Amino acid sequence: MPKKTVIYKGIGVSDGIATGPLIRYESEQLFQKGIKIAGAAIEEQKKQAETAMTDARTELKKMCSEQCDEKLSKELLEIQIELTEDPMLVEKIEDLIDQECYPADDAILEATEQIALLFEQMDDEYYRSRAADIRDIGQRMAGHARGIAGRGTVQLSEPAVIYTREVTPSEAAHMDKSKILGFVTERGSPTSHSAILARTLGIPSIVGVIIPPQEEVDTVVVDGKSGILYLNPSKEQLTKAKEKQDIQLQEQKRLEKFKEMNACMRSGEKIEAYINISQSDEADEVFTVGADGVGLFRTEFLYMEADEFPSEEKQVAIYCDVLKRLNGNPAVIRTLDVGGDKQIGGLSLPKEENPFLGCRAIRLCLNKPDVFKVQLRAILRASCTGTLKLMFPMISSVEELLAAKELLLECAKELEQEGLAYKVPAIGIMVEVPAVAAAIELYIDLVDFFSIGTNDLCQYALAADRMNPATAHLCDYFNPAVLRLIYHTIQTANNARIEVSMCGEMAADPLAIPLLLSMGLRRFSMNSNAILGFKDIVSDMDNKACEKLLSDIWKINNAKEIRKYLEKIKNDQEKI
Amino acid sequence: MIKKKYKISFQEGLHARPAKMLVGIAKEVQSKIYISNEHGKSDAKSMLGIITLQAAFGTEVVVTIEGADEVAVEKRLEDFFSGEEEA
Repeated sequence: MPKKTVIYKGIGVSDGIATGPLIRYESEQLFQKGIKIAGAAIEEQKKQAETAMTDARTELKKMCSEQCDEKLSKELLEIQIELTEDPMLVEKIEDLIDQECYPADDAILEATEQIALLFEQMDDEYYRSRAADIRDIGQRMAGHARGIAGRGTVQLSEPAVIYTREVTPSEAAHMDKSKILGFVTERGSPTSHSAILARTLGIPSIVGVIIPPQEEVDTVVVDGKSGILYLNPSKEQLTKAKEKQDIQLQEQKRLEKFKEMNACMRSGEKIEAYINISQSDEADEVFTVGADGVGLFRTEFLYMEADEFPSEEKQVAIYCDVLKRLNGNPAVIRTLDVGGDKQIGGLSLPKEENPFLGCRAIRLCLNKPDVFKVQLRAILRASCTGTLKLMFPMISSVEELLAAKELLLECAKELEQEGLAYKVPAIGIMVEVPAVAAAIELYIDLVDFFSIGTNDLCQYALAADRMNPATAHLCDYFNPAVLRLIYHTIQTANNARIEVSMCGEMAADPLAIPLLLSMGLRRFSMNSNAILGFKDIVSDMDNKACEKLLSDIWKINNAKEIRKYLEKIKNDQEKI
Repeated sequence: MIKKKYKISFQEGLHARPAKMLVGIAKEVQSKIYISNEHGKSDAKSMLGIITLQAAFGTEVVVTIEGADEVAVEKRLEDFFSGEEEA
């Protein structure tokens, strides 16, 4: 009898579909035995702990030199090697044996657990996630103390989807990646080790799913995009998933060549492609997909994660980290963009009747100069490290822009007086309020660049809430009025030779890309996973086709028909 | 014994790369080096200890150096904390 189909929803952290058997990988965690030793055994146990640490170190060094070709894994192993001889850890272990009469293995587990807990309480997310490294090394050393070598190594006899509580760094470094079809983990986030590794290796992955132990599982389907996991899928679901997988694989293979290529039109004209990020380490993806830099760094996530605002120092460190990772490529940093609809830690915002028309983004920041200045100072300071560009969100009038710029200069003056290094970066604004798009010429002498945000531009121009299911369908960026606002912005900027880009959803829409190129847009910013497809579409476009497309579009008076027209163009192109 | 105050000049704080460099120095020299701030006191040979100090950019740490080569070590730490010693 076929086992029952169950569907779980987690968070998709690495795109793609995987189908196959599920292997529950219990990392057979070692637990403390909870016994105490007698006085005579103390010296012996201390010696045993020391030997266990040396053995673990030798084992790690061997793994590091033998089987480690990935930079990421190598770095992780090096940290662990360092930990096996860390005086703080050694001292803690010896104290536990000496004073608390722990046996060697228990002392190792207890000491590493204590330090891991300490790390988990730190402000810095990077160090919070290092707690896993510390527990990992504890398991490895305790294993040696109990005479088990090579802990943390997954042996797979056949390709499978791995299900585990959490993938520890050394486990991740030593899995036979050719046999891993997908990852499903109980714990983790888009920035946890397994997620980063999965994306680097292109393995579909979901986090935040708990499969009860009594659940009997033969086959699973992992959809790393939607985050949906099918246990024992029906024949129909499996066939469907396999079809989807085949199409994706073929498409991926076809797009692979674009990693090394610029986005170029048929004429050879280069179109700039940037990625949108919310966390500093995502900047690395620029090199994975062959993009030109970061076109949008959404800083609000720094504010949402913590209970309090990130300090100036912390922000400097994060922005510098992005710039260092980019190695000279530019990064556009957008200042805090939140409002009454999103509560953030450290700031209680009054509930507003119409949060999207309320005191949000730049309005909120100008109302709270103390908070805003911390970010502006951090941006000015980080600007020395690389090519940083500063962008203000939701500007709706010249006065607002001038006020924001004045505050920036005030911060620069302060830094000057304090003797801290800073650099005033290029300044730009989001064009997402129709009032700005309609009068864009008023801003060309005041800024260095524009970036069109289509999501908000659309809902403001069409007076339709994009979060409200009853009106969301009205929020169509192919609406002729929205297109005219966008066109006017692009043309005015191009004529004035001011950089203009687009960072909203529209920039990555395969239907919209040909139209935007036709309108003269030459800079696009999108999620990194859309870049290869983008380059593909761009490579099929030529100026003549653009001209015709644009003149045809202007004749159509509604979004539905425009969509239809663009779909037809897309299908015609695919047939060629 | 030498006791000195240093300001952290690393943008990221005394973390990751700088912490690793400091451990490297401490292991090379004869003197015992200890670092302390409001979060505690750590042997400079301990990466874990240094990290738990959470010494951020612009904050101060007190360093004690004790040993035969303490004068030379002080000079090296001077360079290190000013950001001139590169790995």
